[in-house]
Amino acid sequence: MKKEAEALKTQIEAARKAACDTDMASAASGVAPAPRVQLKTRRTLKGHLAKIYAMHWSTDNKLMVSASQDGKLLIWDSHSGNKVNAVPLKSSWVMTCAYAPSGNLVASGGLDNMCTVYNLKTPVIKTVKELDAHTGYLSCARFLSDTEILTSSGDTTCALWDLETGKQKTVFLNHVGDCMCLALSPDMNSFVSGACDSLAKLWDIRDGQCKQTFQGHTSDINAISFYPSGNAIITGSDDCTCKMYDLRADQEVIGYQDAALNSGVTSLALSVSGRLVFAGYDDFNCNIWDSLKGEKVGVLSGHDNRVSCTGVPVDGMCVCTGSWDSFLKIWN
Amino acid sequence: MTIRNVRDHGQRYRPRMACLKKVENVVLEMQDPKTGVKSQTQRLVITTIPHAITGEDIVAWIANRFKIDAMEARAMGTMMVAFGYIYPLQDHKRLILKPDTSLYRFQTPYFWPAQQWPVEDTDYAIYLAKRNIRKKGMLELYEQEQYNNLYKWMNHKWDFIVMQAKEQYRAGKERKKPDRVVFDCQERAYWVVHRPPPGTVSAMDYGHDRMVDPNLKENKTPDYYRRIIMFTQQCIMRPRVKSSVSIGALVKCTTTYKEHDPFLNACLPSNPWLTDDVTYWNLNMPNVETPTKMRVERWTFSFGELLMDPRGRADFRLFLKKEFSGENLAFWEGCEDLKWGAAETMKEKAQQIYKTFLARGAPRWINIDGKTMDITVKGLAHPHRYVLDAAQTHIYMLMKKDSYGRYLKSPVFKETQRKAIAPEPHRFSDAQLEQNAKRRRPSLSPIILRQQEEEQKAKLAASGPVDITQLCRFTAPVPHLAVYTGICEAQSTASPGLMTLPNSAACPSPISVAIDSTPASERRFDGNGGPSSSHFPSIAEASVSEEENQPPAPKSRMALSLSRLLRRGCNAPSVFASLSPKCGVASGGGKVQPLGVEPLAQPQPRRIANFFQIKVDIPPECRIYPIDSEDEEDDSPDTARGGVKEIICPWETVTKQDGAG
Repeated sequence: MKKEAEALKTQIEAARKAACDTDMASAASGVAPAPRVQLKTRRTLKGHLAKIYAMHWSTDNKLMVSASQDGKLLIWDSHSGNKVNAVPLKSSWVMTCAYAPSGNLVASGGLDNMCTVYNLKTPVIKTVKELDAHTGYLSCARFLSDTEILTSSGDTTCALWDLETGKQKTVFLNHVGDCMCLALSPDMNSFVSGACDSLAKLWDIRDGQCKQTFQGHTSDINAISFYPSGNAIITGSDDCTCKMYDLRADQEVIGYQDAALNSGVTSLALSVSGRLVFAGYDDFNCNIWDSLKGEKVGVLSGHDNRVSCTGVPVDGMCVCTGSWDSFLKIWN
Repeated sequence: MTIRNVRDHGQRYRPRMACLKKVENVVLEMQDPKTGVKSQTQRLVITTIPHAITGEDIVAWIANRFKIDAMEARAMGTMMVAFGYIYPLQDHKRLILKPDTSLYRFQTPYFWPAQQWPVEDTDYAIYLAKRNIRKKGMLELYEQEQYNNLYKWMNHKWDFIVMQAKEQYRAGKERKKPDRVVFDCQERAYWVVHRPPPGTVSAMDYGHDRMVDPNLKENKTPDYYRRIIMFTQQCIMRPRVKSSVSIGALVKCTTTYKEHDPFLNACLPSNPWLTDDVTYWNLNMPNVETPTKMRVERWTFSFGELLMDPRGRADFRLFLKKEFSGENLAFWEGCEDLKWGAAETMKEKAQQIYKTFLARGAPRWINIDGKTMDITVKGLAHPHRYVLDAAQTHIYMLMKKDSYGRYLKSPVFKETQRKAIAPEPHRFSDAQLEQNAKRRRPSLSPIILRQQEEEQKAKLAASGPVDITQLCRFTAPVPHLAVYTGICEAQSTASPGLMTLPNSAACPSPISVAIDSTPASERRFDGNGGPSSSHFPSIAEASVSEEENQPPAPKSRMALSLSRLLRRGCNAPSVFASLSPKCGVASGGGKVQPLGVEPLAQPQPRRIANFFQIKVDIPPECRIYPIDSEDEEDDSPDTARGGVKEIICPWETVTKQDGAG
């Protein structure tokens, strides 16, 4: 059986090689290199008292939610710098937060193994549901709509929940390491997850199956994101590199690494066209990569501690970085 | 009882420290006597320190080795100091690299952070005790605090700790002075890294531990191999696209959107983050009257782009109305509504959509092929969220391949393009920029914005096409007409979703019968025995669809009176509750009604009934929502009556299976 498995694997490798008739370098050779990007901090949002672990933009491009281990979710009106809401959390060990596309709900989760969903529309913010079925910490959550939410957990599973019943609709089992991150595809039919087994997997939301697996990293994948067209994904890992995988060609297309970089990637965000990749690192900086050429085109320095989360709003007007130094910075 | 530190601070559960291997290689290179950093013997106070290196040498070496500039080299050097591979001789508590003549030394590999043993509190206690022995009161404040804490909770082995400390102190005394000084420095540096003074940033701070040991080897059982084989077989069978094609597509996507990327191209009139002027956002509101040229350009990129933009969709709807093929878009929107909406109303919605679009003789029949229709109808016997997927995809592709192309060439689109705004770029002087910054105002909450939009739409409902985009993509179907004002959607007396559908008064579909717990009571609503309406959005939809399917049939302007609706005992609050369980409903002046407000007493709906009247154009032959037709049956011409035939779902009764619908 072992031999059979090996034989199949070699077959896949051969098929992949056959399909790989060009690489990104040549395909992108006709494209002008991206200009050196120098962004300045436009806002520094101060208000958290402890490490910020996660942030997420709302679809209206101005509001965003951030989660910090001081036990608070803060909802910011980022343009004016005002705090619109503060949601006290039952457990302060929060690791992720998410904003629903409708703007009505936010979710948070962490070491309490639960995903708590809050309703923002009431004058006093209420807990709508506590989704409790994971046996490990909650590493990432993303809303599909006001009725469904996807979560990834340290118990190596991802789950799709029905917010009305509070039960899991589908559980996605295949990873062998803690799932650290997930990203929804633009068409909302599939999502990708990255885990500590250094694999990224593409799942079909409907039938709950793992459709594709992407290898290449040598350490935990901490951040993952879809390319705007939905045909490629970009992953960031503790092995200090980011990689772009093409979903249709089923292979790695280009890697973003630098010999001088010695710190793991914690978070990723892409600009509207997909040309720029904003990657937050452990060395307190956020590097900007040209996704087609694989070169570094800029750095966002200013944080005094690790950059833990990065986000670009839907209209792509700016990028926000959140850090363990308890500040969020908005750059443009 | 011994307290074992179960968490392995070594590398097994935190492979993040994998990057430490890279740093180690660099450090080894740096220590190379020939090609590494120049070191010399330094005199510090009275002792000589061998192999000391200066900060500026380190920076220069790194910059040279990696071909980077001084700033980056300094940052990298600081990282090495923070991890503890290099330690400063002066100012030992600040773990940064100073690019001047300050002295540093390489840490001995024994004290490197990536070793196999965890950094135990026992060792720390021994270290502090040792320092305490040497000179009483030499410990810093934070160290004293830690020492006291450790004393408290390690009390049971304190004797062991003190004994060890004394031993080490004695052994240290026996060493030669320079060696001792060196070792002390190294040990001190080690503990500064692993037990940092408060308020400093520690590089050892790596967050939570992993749950699963990534180095755990999975058992190679036959089952394991079977899974792998299955997965790889599926993998092989999957069609693979040639790299050139798919990478080419990626490149194309990027270049297409390049102009629209605010980081790569200046956006007009100005980026609100740069100039604090929010004109850009105002011009690009979801339902603005005249879109900007850039926005219109985006609609030409792909059909998906057009549909996702509410303004684009509205434009497309207008075009389809002129072509009399609006039912495709309406069907698509209905499917989206079904997919993302609340679960309680799903069955009714599915039925509604079937009766409106799919059934034979349906008022807004869409053209899908037999096979898809078959699958859909079969699926509708047990409706779920994705039951209309096949049909939706078919219609989507139809619109994409056919209508979209024509739309882009149509006069509607060309008109929109012509009227689109191309704002002039702002040219603010510095003073003006400052002014803008001062005048920054918090933006309106999107919830308030949406309510305002809904109110506006209600007012426009009579005259123009109602935009039901709010229904579909993002929200559970929000009752988007402001008639809902004042009706609390919270608790409902009857369970939601138990409405019988308009057409099934005579022969209710088994679905509604099945889910009805008290069908009789539900159907007993109204005096005139007419069925109750299902839900508002469908009425709105009706108004939309009626709008689009205008002449040739004679128009009958009917006032859809809310009073009539409510008088029929339409359990409105329950409907609204089911439709938008999470959306608070605005009361009166746009204030958000809290959830959990008690259901309003019965008289209230009547009050509101007189408050709003929505005038809709409903051609008489559209009998989807016979609440209207029911009202106006007397008014409408007899020819229309022919269309009022009962639309029965084919699965309702066995006998009717062939001929029904």
